[in-house]
Amino acid sequence: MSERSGGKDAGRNVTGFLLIAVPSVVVLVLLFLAVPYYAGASARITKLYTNLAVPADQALAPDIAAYSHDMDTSLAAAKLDLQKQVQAETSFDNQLGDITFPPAPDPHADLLIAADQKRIKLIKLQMQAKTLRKLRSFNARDLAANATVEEQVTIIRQDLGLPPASGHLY
Amino acid sequence: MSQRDIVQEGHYPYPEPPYTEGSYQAGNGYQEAPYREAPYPADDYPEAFYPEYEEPEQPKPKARKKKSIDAWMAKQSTNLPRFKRRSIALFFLRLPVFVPWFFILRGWLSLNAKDVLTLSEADVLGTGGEFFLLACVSITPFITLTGARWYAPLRRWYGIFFALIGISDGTTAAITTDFDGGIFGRLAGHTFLVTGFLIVLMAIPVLLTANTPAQRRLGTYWKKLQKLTYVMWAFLVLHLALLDGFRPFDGPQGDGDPVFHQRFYQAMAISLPLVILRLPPVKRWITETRAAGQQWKVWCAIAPMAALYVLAFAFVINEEFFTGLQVLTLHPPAN
Repeated sequence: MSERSGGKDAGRNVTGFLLIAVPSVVVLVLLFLAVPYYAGASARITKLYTNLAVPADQALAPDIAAYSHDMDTSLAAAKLDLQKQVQAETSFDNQLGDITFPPAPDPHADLLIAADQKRIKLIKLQMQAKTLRKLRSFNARDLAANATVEEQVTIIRQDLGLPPASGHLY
Repeated sequence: MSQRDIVQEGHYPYPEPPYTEGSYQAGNGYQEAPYREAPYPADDYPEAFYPEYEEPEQPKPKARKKKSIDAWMAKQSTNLPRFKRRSIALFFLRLPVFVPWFFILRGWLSLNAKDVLTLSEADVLGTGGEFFLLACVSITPFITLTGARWYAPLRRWYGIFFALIGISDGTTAAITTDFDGGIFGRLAGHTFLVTGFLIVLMAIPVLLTANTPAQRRLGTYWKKLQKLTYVMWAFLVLHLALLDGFRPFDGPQGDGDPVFHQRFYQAMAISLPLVILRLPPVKRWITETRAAGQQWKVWCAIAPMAALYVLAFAFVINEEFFTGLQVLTLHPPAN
């Protein structure tokens, strides 16, 4: 009787052990896989940034080119070009704010957003111009605001291991 | 001859009690019970939010070591002699329940300034409620695993505050979120909202009966009612599955670890060891292994799942603090 119950207990013990051990082995494999995944976080952040910057640049490039043409010919068209720039930059800033950057580029991302906001404010002011001459008078200040943005972009790209944004804003 | 007559004549009708040699001396009158007193009074609400728990068998060889943790916690504190160590530890372990409300308070007081409640209340109160429900159902496996019972009252405490946080989450969501369909739409306009709303509805009777008078009044029904906790647990996992799906988050959110931030995966990682440690064969194996003085085997076997559990909880806490600070500083996410 005791032998029978002893054998039964041993069987139960094996079941209990296996119910812990098998999932533990599976979890151990998952944890080993998690290490390289976690190590790849910075590469994924770089990709997140690129996924924002490339479409934003693609959206801005024709608007900037159109503005360069329209600022001498049509006030309404030039204002529309500026409006499109504001939309593209606002969208970029909103999405950039959702990325949690590593410690090195993180403050520069905040500075970039701040510089972009100043630029947007300036463009909105420019859009209130009544004449083409008045509109063009903002160009120098626009270039100065662009330079601040580009400065932060250069640092962020450097920290993320990206090449400089040659010919593009972001 | 009746049984009473036999006893009166000195013929005890039952087998002799297992007194050790020399412990019983005829004629000495009252004999002290040969077992020790419990180191602290039993939990007043031992089964609140924990309906199925059965006292595991207390294996004799290791019983002294197991009790020593509880006994140590039952002693007066060295630095604060007016309080027991257990009371001090429980006091600090009870405090985190106020964290979600601390984070959301500014959003409430500012009447949803900058849409902080619209954008983040579910992340703060929902994650807070999730944390304390999972903490509540973690207590029993911890007892199974360690044999210590001094933290058993936390089960009821975390359960009660899970319900209160859930109710405040539902109320805030009904007022501030921007789903179509009025209050009903905001509470149950999507499948994931329906599951969340049902969790809150189920939490109400469990909360109202999580006390001794209700336990006495309801009798055997009380235990069945408290088993709703497990239904809520299952609904929580379903709620998160419907909310986040099976894929990592899309878009630019996050810090480059989208899989770790996936709330359904987090809930599964936490729930897996808790479910396994509730299985009777597993409980039996742990008890017997500990009784054989081989607790290390238990720790080795459970270590990977414990690591996953801690990792998942770390990301739940990270989510709570990240979104909580956004609300506290009135800087909600853009979307």
